[in-house]
Amino acid sequence: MPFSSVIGASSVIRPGVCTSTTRPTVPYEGQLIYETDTDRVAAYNGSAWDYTHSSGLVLISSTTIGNAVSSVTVSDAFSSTYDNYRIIVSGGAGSTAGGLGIQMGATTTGYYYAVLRITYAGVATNTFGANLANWRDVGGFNTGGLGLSADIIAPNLAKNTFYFSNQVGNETFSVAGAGGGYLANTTQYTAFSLITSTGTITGGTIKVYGYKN
Amino acid sequence: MTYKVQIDDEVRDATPEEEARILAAQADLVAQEEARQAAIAAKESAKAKLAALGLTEEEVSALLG
Repeated sequence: MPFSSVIGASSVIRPGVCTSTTRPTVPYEGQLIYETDTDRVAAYNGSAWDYTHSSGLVLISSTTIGNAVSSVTVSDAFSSTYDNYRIIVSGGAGSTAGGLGIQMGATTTGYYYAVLRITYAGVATNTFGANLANWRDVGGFNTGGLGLSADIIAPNLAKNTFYFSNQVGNETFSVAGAGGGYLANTTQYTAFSLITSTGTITGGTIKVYGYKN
Repeated sequence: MTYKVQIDDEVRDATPEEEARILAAQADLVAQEEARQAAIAAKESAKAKLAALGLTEEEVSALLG
């Protein structure tokens, strides 16, 4: 068999291709692999497989939302590995139309936010709040699905935590806008919770990504 | 109403403390929605009054958007 036929796409020799359970047992520093079950690229740094080389955004966790819950906590979302994060919620359904708020750790005071927004009918209905119990209506939901995309800045640093997002509701009478806020303390958080403004949510996923430092 | 909470992959009934946390987070939702609806109603009322004064629809839109 010519050499060219064993290095092509149909080759039976596929160096570096494995699964998360069949990684090389005695890797060498700098070795690259691709895990077919997780679709992730990893490099061996001499002591562990490092998945952060894949891209600027690195998937940290994916949580499937259960049945008819009012609050979902993701415990190990933030760490010293990354300074900044992106949270995306998609799929699923709400029991009614409502908003998704974000609460950091167990902190129930000190949330400040403002959103410049307008209804789909063209009426400005800016929203804001000081020293609240969470960042309100960062995302929205109705029976047609859940939607949230927010950047969380410095949650695990001993600094104020900030969020930036586009606030979008998915009812014909809803609003869309952009805004953000901050949390007035310097607590280092590892967890956050999504809390419904009304009703419950079922299904869908909460994905947390870290921005590679 | 019994609230359900999810901690990572576990779904269960909320403890009294968790329920209080949810209720606190939702506390001013009604006031916020009422304020939003009031703002919409006020704008519609202003549009109607301007129209009654003889302004055209384009002129009202130029003023209020």
